[in-house]
Amino acid sequence: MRHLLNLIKRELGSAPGQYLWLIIMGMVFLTLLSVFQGQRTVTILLVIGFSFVYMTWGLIHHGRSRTLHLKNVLEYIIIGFTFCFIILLLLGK
Amino acid sequence: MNQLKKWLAHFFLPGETNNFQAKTLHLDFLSVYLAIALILVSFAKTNLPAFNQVLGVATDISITRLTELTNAERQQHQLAPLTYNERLAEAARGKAQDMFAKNYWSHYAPDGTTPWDFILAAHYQYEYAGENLAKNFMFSQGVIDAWMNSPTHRENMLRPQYTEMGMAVMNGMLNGEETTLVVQMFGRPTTATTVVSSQSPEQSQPVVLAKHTTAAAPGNFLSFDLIIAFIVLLMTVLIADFYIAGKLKIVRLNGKNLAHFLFLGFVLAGLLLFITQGSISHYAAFIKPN
Repeated sequence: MRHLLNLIKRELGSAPGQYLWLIIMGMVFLTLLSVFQGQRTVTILLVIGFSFVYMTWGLIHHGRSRTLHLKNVLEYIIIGFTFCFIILLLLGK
Repeated sequence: MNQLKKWLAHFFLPGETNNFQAKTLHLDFLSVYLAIALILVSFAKTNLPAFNQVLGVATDISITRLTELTNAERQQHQLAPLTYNERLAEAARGKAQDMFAKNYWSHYAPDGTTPWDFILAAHYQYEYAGENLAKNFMFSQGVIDAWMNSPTHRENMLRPQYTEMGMAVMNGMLNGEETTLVVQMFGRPTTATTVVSSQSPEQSQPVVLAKHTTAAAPGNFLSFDLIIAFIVLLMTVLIADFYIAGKLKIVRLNGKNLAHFLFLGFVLAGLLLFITQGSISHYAAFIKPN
């Protein structure tokens, strides 16, 4: 467990600003979901928006660390779209 | 047993056989997840009930379940359970249809129609009557919890004067978006009324069932629990993969597991906390004799 925490600290420490930005965007996502609870259209827009924020984060992060590669880009895009579609399915869209 | 261990290690842990990344995180597997999600979304848009029944998502907004949960709450508070009344159900359906037709979300219609007008139109003469409204919930328990957490709605649900209840669950367009409405009508008939023999929710047939009224049936491919389990499994694999790759100091070209983990964590939190919850009216409606 301690080793895992050290690995996480090292990873977060390698790009603290970028990870902080991702966490803040996540908190904003949850806050807006709570504020607009029950409004399907807004929920759908928030889910799509957060997925795009996440994909953009991946591009910027890997671009800055000079590890931008098609494989990495596809990973973020596929994961982002997969869970976007799963939530849209749940919302009945 | 060894074969099983090797198989599990190949799919869930980085090692020599999977190019030092869990197979479930490889691009080909991720593409399969996306393809399945796309197929399910495409089928959900079809009007083929057979496909929707098998490939639809199972949630449990249903009149039967809502009635059970309401009476369970009443029993917990030492109150008599409410009998399901078809005339009140008809009033609830009338109210839901009116809300969709006139595009309003309120106990009182823009033209002044009250909930009591619908009850009287269904030929139910009441001594006491009440109405609770909810929209866009995915689960019946969420509706009941929201009503119980609201003082006026809770008062309605636990009012000892009520003896009967009727419900409607309907899908339609409200304020430009697809909405699932729940209307709950309470009543106590006047002593002079010939009370319609009350039917259980199973015997009465609502005119329109909400898309999500299908309770989790064995035939449904996808359940909410399955989606949650899939997200949790993927998060576990990501952390395990991250840990082992870090420990073995494996250098590889792939996305950041921690970022994926955070994204899925926020998606999971959103799903569990907010997306399954809808909204209820600001207050409950109640009428009593002067």
